Amino acid sequence: MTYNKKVILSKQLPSPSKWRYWDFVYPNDHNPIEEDWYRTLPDDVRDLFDTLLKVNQKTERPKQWTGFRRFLRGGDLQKYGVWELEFKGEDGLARRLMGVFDGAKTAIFLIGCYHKGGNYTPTDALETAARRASLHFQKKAKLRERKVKEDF
Amino acid sequence: MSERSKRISKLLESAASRASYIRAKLNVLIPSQIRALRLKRDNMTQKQLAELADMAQPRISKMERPGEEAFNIDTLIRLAAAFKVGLKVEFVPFSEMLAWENGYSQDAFNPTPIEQDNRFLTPAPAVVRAAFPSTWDEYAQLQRTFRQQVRLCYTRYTELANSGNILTGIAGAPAGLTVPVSGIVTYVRGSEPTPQLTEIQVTPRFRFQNIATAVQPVNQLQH
Repeated sequence: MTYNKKVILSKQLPSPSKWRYWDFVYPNDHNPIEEDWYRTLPDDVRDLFDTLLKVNQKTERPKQWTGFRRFLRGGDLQKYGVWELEFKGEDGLARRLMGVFDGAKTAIFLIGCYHKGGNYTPTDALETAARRASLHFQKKAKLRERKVKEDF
Repeated sequence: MSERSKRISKLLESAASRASYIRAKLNVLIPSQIRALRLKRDNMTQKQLAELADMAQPRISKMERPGEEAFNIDTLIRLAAAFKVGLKVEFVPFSEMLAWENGYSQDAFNPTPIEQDNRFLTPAPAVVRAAFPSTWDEYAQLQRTFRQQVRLCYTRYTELANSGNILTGIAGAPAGLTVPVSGIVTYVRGSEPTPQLTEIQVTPRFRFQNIATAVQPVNQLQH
């Protein structure tokens, strides 16, 4: 018996089931997310941040992500769709992580910072986020995947 | 010493570290559950939830921000009541807490509100009529269905042998209670089931296992 097999290729690739996170990395391999921010966090804030990534990777719509605050407005921030996550550790500091989406369920982290009374620390956090977003979309930067930890 | 080993040492040695670790998890998982219920299940605004929970809208906003709110039990109770769900607070091993976190999905989190919670509104009655099939085929079918749902207790009830059958298995009944109970009766092949026997008295000396899940109305067994 002969079977005629017909293969139909879908025009659209299926959406991945989970979000993947990437750190912005400079061409010289400096990873500002890991080296300048994540490693400086107290244990409890790291635990909270890792849990946040774990929960949000399974949440389809980023606007429903836990801790998702907003898309930032104005200039390049708006142009590149820079958004911010917010969360607070036991030290009471309101932390923000800015990033952009690029591709199916792909989030790129640009900068981690503090926020108090309408001011960011470092004070040029917004400009840095815009500059890094620009470098990323011009393909002048590297990325390093931030794996979600099943354990701490 | 690896980073992980250092963390484990801290968690083993210090109650403050353990508290921080637990807090970090709950500070994400509680806001996430609130967002899941408000946005996905109930499609509510923060203002609407605030009215239901008798709170101010900024408080809801604060509770949805990870790490912002130090939740107390009463706050959680008020939220649970507003969402029309129950609340379970349980001390568990760390491994179980981690497994809960790993398995949790905000999109899939969808507890049934009370008005649709049939298991709560119409629970299986404590006294259930037994399923007494009249043919072996019917019996075999029921047993197959039943096996999927409960763990049968293979205990011999010789006291009931005078009913004409030797009963080798029964499921259902609170342990140690003298209540009429139910279940599928495993008959010894060769003796036909007795349709008129519809209730079995269980005396306290019989001990049953997995009782709660075993009590199933007959009409549910066949689903």
